[in-house]
Parts: sequence; structure tokens; C-alpha cells
Amino acid sequence: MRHPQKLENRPGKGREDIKGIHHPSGEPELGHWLNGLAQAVVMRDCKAVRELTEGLVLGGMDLFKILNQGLILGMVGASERFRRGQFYIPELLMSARALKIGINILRPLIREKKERVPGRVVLGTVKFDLHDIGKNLVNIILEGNGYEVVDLGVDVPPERFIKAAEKHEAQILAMSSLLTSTMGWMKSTIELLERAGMGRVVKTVVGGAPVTPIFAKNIGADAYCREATSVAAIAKGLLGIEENGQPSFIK
Amino acid sequence: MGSLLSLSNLRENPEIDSQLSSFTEKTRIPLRLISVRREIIWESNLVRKKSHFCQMLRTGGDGARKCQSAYRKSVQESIRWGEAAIGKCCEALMQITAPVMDNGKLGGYLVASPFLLVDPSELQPEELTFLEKRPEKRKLKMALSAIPIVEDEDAKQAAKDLFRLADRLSIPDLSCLRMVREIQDLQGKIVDRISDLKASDNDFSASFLTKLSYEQEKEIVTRIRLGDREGAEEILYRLLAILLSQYIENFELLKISVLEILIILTRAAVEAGTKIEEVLGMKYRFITESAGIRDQENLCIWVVQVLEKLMDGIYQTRNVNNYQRLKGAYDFVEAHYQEPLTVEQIAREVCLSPSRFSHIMKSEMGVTLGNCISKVRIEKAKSLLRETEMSISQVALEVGFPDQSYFTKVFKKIENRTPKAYRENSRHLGSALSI
Repeated sequence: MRHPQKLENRPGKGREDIKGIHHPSGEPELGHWLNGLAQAVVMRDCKAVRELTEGLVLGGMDLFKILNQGLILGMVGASERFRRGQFYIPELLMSARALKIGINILRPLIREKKERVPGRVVLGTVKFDLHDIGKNLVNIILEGNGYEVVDLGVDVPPERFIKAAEKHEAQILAMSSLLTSTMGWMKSTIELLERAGMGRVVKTVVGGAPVTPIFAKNIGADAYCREATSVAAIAKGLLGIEENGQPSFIK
Repeated sequence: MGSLLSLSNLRENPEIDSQLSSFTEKTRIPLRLISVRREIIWESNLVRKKSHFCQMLRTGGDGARKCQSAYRKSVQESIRWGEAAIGKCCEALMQITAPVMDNGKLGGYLVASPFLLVDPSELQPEELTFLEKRPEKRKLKMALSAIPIVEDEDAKQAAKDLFRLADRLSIPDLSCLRMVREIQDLQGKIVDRISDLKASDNDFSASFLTKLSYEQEKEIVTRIRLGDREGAEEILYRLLAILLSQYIENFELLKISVLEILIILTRAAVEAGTKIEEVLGMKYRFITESAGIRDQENLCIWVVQVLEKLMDGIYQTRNVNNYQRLKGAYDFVEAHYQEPLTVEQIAREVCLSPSRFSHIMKSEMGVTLGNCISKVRIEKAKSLLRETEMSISQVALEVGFPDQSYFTKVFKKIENRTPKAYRENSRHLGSALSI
């Protein structure tokens, strides 16, 4: 996604192309559309995101493939541009908006198909931190994998995490932080969880740009999540469900 | 001047009035100056017309409360980051806010809102669900079309303009926030370098990080000796990223490690020609200063400023022209290490005769050009050995050596072991820790 082609070259932009959805001519073309979808998220083109997502669904592509290699890849590309200073907040918000359009199409279909996994996750961005893009991706991926997710949003103080984990009888508590100045709240939350006597019942997983496996270990987290896309494998590991993929680290 | 009085006085100040008005004229976004007591001190003529939509929303339910809390949160963010905050104020509507200081305290804030980043006709059904619930939805949709649409780039510019306005209105100005901005910018850069570390697929083992910091420490010394300010800064960010990824929750360890970097920096400054007495004096001051630093953010910005001061010292004592030439030569080598390089070629690049160039290189850097090229090539080779499956002969060719045996000879001379041993060792380290 670092060198995306121009949007104009993207397939499926015109109405005519979209009409052809019902007769997808095999894998290569769908793959082309998938690239286009990622591209459309980066370019903040909601209309194209809607059309391409619907087109790919009708073309019979795996829903997770559309999610991971289309929508999420696009959002990762947008975040990358933001990181490199090519995007500013308005552009990033508009990419997030385009992403949401696609997610809203996929979400009910994934829910329909996927078997429920016996796992409930309480998720949030820690106190004083208002970043939610990574956290929202984690939410989508976990839901897509059949988990029940309680998303507490951003700026979540430790007490709220603990209360929610208790109330919803969560097995996993997932925290995100994008700032060096807010990472400490992950530690506070884990400490509070221990003090509440829930440390053994509720497994913790932490992630975000400044979070490293060393930090995760030092604060006593049960797992470290390097990128949003690996969270499903990590959750399975934490719940002791068999999984081929190796999670980034599990205590 | 009384505390709130000064802010209220703005109402009668024609110059300020015209500055505020010109913001709205330029951006078409309605602008208000609101005091912390929620009084509207100034508002653009456009406000009533363009924010009809907001007024309708506010009349029902908890709309007004939501607006106020969105402003307050946004202002807090802008104080925290030292810049104007752009964000959503209500569903698809956007706002920009900036704080206005009044005798050193938050006296009020500028709010530019509402505006849209897209045409309302392009809003997706799921973005309008909040309207569907309201009885007067048709009227609301009409009112929505009166809201100005601002392009991404223009919104960015508007945010800059708004902060400048707030700076002018504030007493004293917002220079305190500019320091905040610098600290946050630096933190952002460090987090970026941490992300790069994470993306490079390493295992974050203590031995890996020690090795990496050792390499970077050597590199920063080279950069300082070259007088390459930007290059040295970049390496310092990386070093800070390595430290923060390990010790962020242990300030004492972090501080000791940063002081170690300080020692390396000052030593490099001496090697670069600054008088030793001068550097010792600076070092003493730095260490005294460091005693007062109590948090990670200030520690990082401090060491970056230390580097700046040392670089200033180097620039004062040395022939800047020679530095620029050497840096030019180094950059050229970095970019063309894969090609066969000759002294003539590089000397031509920096407009010197080959003999003059060799002389400057030797006297300023203490190494020959050949050594310098070899070092660059070997560093590149090391990362290829670590991160790829390329054969050793392929690596040799890739980094500009004519054959494998010469490559191995040079590698052994610099690294004290063969390329093969280096690769096996790094592999072994990697696999032992990933289990």
C-alpha cells in the first residue's frame, strides 16, 4: 500500500464496471478489485468503497479476505501516510469514514456466517488517549472471528475497564495506547485488575505504536499484540483454543 | 488589566475584529470566541446563518450540552498538543478549536464550526442516522446544506490560521504551547522509530537491542564528526526509541542510559575538534541540568537540545566548508555503495581535486576514503545477512564488492569474524528467542 496506483486506474469505478459484478471473470479480476478497495480507503472515496465491497461480496470472495486485504490494508496505508506526515487529521478521519462504510456492509454478513466463539473481550483505549483507529480495527477483527466484543471507546480509566470486565464476565481485557504518555495507564489497569482478584480470570493483551513486547512483559500483561491483524490468533492463544499461527508473545 | 476584562475588551478592538472577520471570510467557517464562562465574546456575522443546523439540534434533547462538552474536550486536546485541534463536533460535522490565554490562564477559546469535509449529498446513510430519529428531519437536512464544505488541505490551513489568531489574542502569547508542541513532536518522532523497530521483525531481546544501540552509537559519532546535524539527530531519535522501548516505565534506568548517550555525544564533539576544556564545561552544565529533569518527555527533549548545542560548538570551531564537502561525499557513498567507487569520482562530486579531498578526509575524519566506503558496504551487507536468504556471494555483489573472497577479507577485518559466522550467530540469536 505504500505505492498505490492512481485512483483513476482503479477498476470498477464506473457504473458499467459495477454492473458486471454478477459475472465476475475469475480470481485475477477480483484481486484487482481488492487492490482497488484498499486504494479507495486511502483515497477516501466512500462511493467506490461501497461499490467495490458489494461487488466483491457478490463475486463470492471470502469476507475476511475483503476485510483484511482490502479495507484494513487501506486503513493501514492511510495510517502510515499520517505517520509520515503526508496525511493530516482530516484525511485520516475521511479514510476512517470510508472504512466504516465497508465494515457496515461486511459486519452483518460475517455475523451471520461465523460461529460464535466462547470468548468475550472488553476493549478500549486507555485514559487520556483519544486514538481509536487501531482499537476499532481490533474490534472488527475480533467480532469477525466470532468474539463478543464490549468496546468501551477511548479515554477509558482503569476502573471502567475493571467494572466492564466484571459486569460482562469477560475472559480477555484488551487495551490500546498510541502515546508514550498514556502507556502507564495500561500498567495501572493491570494492577487494579490484580487487586480486584480478577488477574487469573481475565487475561490482558496490550498493543499500540509505542508498546513493545518488553514493555508488555514488564507491566505483567498476558500478551502483546504487534498489529491489529494478529489479535485473533492471540486471543485464541489466551483462551487455550488451538491455533496454527504463533501469537507475538504469550506469557 | 483585569483578568476577564482584557478578553472582553477585544469586542471593541477594531484590529482584532478585522483579524477574526478575515478568518471567516477566507475559510467561510463561522467563528466564535467563547470565554471559559461560556459567554460569547465575539462571533462572525456568518454564525447565525450557517449554524442554523446546530441551533436546531441544540434545541432538542441534550444537544447544547453535547456541543459544550465537545468544545471543552477539543480545547483540552489543543492545549495538550500545542496546536489547534481538528475534530468532529457532532456526527459528520467538524470543528477546529484553539485556546486563548488570559493573563497566563485559560480565558476562553476560539471555535471554528461547523463545517463539513464532504458535500452533504455524499454523506452515507449510516452517517445520517442521527437525523432520522428527529421529528424535524426534513428541515434539518435543508439546514445541513447551508454548512460550508472545506477541502482537507484548506482545513489544515484553517487550523494553522486559527492557532495564529489565538496566539495573537492570548496574553501572554502561546509560546508556552510551542514548547509543548516541540516535546510532542519529538515524542511522535520517537514513537515512529519504535514502530520501525517493530516492523523490522526483530525479537526485542536484550542482546539484540544492545547490539543495535552499539551500532547506532558508532554511527552517531561518525555523524557528529562529519558535522551532519540532521543525520546525528536522526540517530539520536533511534537511540531514544531503543531506550524507550525498554525502560519507559523505569525513569531511573532511562535517565542513566540517556546520560551515557550524553557522554558519547560530548566525546564525539571533542573528536570533531571542539576544545576539550570547552566540552568539559558544557558537560558539567549538562549534568547539573539533568538533575532537575523528572519525566521522560523532558529528558528526551533535553538530550536533543544537548546535541544541538554541541553541534553549534562544532560549527564554530571547524571549517564548515570542509564539513559540507565531507557530508556530501558521505551521502554520495551511501547512495552509490553498490557501484564501483573511486576517489576521483567522489572528489569530483564535491568539487575538489582527488589529492585535496583525500587530505581533508584523513585530517578531519581520521580515516581514508577506502575505509569509509568499506564501512558503509559492510553495514549494508550485515543487514542483508541478517534479514535475507541471499547467498554470501550474492550479498558481496549486491553491496559493491567485485567478488566473495575480497568481501570476506574486508568483512573479517572490520567485524572480526566471517560473514558466515555473523549470519549464523544472528540466526541463532533470533531462533533461540522466538520459541
